[in-house]
Amino acid sequence: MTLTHEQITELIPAFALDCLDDEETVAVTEHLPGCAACRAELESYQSTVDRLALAVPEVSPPPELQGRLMARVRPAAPVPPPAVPWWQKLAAQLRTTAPVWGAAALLVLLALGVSNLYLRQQLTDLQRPAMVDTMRTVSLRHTQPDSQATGIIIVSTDGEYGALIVEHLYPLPENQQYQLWLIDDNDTRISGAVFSVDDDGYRSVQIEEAPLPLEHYTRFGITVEPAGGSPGPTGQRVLAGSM
Amino acid sequence: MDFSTLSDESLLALIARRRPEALEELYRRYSRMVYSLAIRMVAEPSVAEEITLDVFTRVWDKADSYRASRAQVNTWLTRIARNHAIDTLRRQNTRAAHVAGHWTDAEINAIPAKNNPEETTQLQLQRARVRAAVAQLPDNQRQALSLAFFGGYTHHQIAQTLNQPLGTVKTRIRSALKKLRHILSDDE
Ligand SMILES: [Zn+2]
Repeated sequence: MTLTHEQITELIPAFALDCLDDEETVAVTEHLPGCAACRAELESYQSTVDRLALAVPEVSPPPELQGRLMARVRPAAPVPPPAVPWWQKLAAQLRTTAPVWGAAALLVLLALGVSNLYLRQQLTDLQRPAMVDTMRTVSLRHTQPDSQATGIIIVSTDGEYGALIVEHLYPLPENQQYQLWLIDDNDTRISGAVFSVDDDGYRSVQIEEAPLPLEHYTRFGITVEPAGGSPGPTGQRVLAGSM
Repeated sequence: MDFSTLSDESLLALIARRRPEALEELYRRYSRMVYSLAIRMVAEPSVAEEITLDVFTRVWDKADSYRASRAQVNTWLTRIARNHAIDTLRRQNTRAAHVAGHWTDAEINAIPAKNNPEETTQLQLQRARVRAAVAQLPDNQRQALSLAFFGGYTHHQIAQTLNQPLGTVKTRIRSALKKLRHILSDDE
């Protein structure tokens, strides 16, 4: 399509608005490099079209859009390493840092375990060589498909003292509590602790004195029981582990 | 550095040097303007949000090419926004003419909102001027212009939509823009 300068000039406003059909768009585009007058005209109309953008009702974008923008443009943060449950770190440290371990260390552990957050802050302090290598630990794994629960049992070498630490167990209604079962090779089940968890599903407790040294028990389970506990497990099992 | 006191051009210079705070400040100034245009064109909030994100992401990526364009920064932003929105509309090919077609009296008579402290008085004045200019257009010119500007319709599509001869539509659009250019240039 070949058009005269006069015809092109008539098309410039619509070209600025981007509403010409393809052939006219091409005709104007090819005319522009050779015609300063039409280029000036285009610039002038372009400015008019630009200003139309201001004649719209004002609507604020949702506030979170700015965060989405900044997340897009900021270089991706390094991927954090997979979260290791604090007790695994603790157990690893305790296993490797010292040769001697006894009731004192366990009590320290329990004292620290009063608050999950507080314990995390104290982890570095525990790198002192005063604490333990010779204890035994048993990891407890959740037995329900959608559970995040984890737990660990720590037993002193002499089998006299034990502690249980759990994380991410669902808080229970008031009329229910969790109960730890110590299981020996004859499948005899002895209550090891009756406990509730805090809002984060966390709790650390000392294991009750059992008829036999703790090392005698090779399997452990935690069930949901009526408040105060049961003589034997009756409810749903939520955590389990074995030596 | 207090980014809120910097000119738009300085912000772009800092954006070109990868300073996120400068982009944040530019976003504070113009996100409302960009989003308002986008949602007027595409109607769907989630699409308008995407367009807004694309505009400012592009600013982040292309800030160093801005100097060549010579436009005001806010103009540059709305051009990108409108081009994005038109692309979206033409891809969808399902524009609602009733949305794009009416540049309502309520819209052009709206008093520019005062509740955006980040937006300069100058920009608010510009809004008022442009609305007043659009208000002076005859209804049929305003309608054709609206279909082209907001809907991304071509002459042919507008003629079909309005069931008017092609020549009539071309004349309406041309007359509308001539008149707007005249009114707005008087203001400067
Ligand atoms: Zn020419």
